[in-house]
Amino acid sequence: MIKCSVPVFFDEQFLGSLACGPVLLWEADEIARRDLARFAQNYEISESNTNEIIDCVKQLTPENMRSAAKMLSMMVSYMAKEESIFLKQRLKITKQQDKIAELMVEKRINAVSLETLERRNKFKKYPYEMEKELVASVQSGDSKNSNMILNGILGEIFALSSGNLDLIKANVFELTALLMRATVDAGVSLTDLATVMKKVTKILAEDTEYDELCLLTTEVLDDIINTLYINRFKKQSSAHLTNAINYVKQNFQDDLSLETVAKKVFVSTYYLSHLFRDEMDMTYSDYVAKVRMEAAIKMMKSNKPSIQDIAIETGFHDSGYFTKTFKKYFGITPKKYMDLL
Amino acid sequence: MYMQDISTQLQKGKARDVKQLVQEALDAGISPVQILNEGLIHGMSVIGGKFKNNEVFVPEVLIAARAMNAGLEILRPALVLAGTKSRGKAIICTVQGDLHDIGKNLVKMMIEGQGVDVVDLGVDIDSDTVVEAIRVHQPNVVCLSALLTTTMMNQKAIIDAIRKAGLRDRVRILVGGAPVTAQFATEIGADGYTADAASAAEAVLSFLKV
Repeated sequence: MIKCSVPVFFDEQFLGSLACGPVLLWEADEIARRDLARFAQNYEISESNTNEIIDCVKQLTPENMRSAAKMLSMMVSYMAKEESIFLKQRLKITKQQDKIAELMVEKRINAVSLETLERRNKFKKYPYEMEKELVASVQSGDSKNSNMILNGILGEIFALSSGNLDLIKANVFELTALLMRATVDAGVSLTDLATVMKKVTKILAEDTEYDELCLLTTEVLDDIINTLYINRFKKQSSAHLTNAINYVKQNFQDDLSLETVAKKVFVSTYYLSHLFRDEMDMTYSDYVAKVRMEAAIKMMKSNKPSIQDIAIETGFHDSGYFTKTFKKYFGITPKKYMDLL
Repeated sequence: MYMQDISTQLQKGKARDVKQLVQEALDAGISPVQILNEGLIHGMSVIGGKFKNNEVFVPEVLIAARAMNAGLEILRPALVLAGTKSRGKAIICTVQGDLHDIGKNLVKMMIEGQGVDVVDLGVDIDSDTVVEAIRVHQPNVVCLSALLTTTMMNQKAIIDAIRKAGLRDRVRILVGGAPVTAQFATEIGADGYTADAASAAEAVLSFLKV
């Protein structure tokens, strides 16, 4: 006879459970009666009584039972007013462990023969190939594939470490360190990986069990993939910015209108001006002026040409406009500045 | 074809039909091992596959398992050598935290089929119970089954407990279960690992010979 039950949590405290049943999932045939009679012997219940009992029990089909269980579960979560975080995590953990076990079994079945597997295992080969695959998959931002490879690696680590939890933790720690290195290599700063580091510390903690450790590693993996994704966005925009900046620095004596430079680096004027404002905290024209003024100063210090020449060399058609810009930037006129040198 | 019918009825959870079909197949002279593998185990693996894919759920697995056990009961006298002197004694259980028993039941039957007495401790068995059972029953072999990665660790715990109780050299230890491997078995200090019920029975026999 079968019951289904749902645990009741409140404030992450286990209060008890609600159960519904017992029911029979099959007919009250002679097998069922005999099994119940056997069981009841321990409780000194006679056979005629067990027959009475079994005749009173409701019979459900498997589909009915599933619906009943679902309804019970919905009722409980409504009453508890919130889904237990603990339960949600346990569900994730169970699903992941199932996947890991599946991969381990697959590997064993796919081994050409059991001896081959044993021979391979004798050399305790760490799955370096899979690690490489994982890094490549992470860098391409494929979360689903990365998680699958990770589960495979976790299974291998488990098998290699023969259940030695400390050894498993050390191996997993090394794996996360490898991923973090790949991430920093890609240009992410360590401060962006602060939550990752916290989780890695939890992985090494003494009270962390194997299944929780697997879940944490999965979370570390997803955090890293997300961080890389965000960073890639930043990187792309900074590539455009870098190109624009380089162009301005190399061509300050020429026309540097927003239209011209935007065309040169293949972006829109709108995007370019926003890039400067967001990343450099100044308008595009301010930046151009800055570059030109710094160039002017350099020229003044080196060979003391005339103000007219400097104006032309820094891209100003008009020496009057050059003087005006210079004064605005440095607070004194170019002539006075040159006298000071 | 009997095998197909047995498998199909098992998947539907029709215990009585499976019982009847297994008996008919035996009467028709089909080998019990074939009935077991191509009929019963086949049906159970199909259900197992569907369960993994969320096509069926726990209730369906329960009724299929029931049908499996019903069929096994009929097969048992054909598989177990009747009237032979006992060749030895074995203890079998599923480790703590694990409730899977179909594999264990199969192994138990195959071992009994080789003329070895088997004490079945059941499922979700902790180290203390195993140690106590060794003291009480004094078996030659201890068989530990685990189907989850998390409960595999308990196989190690039980072996450690047996060692701590000073009983390690009195028994040979065999481990098994889907994710278990030969290397894992060696590392945790077991005497052997087998991938299925038939080879488990052979391993037990080889332990008894030494």
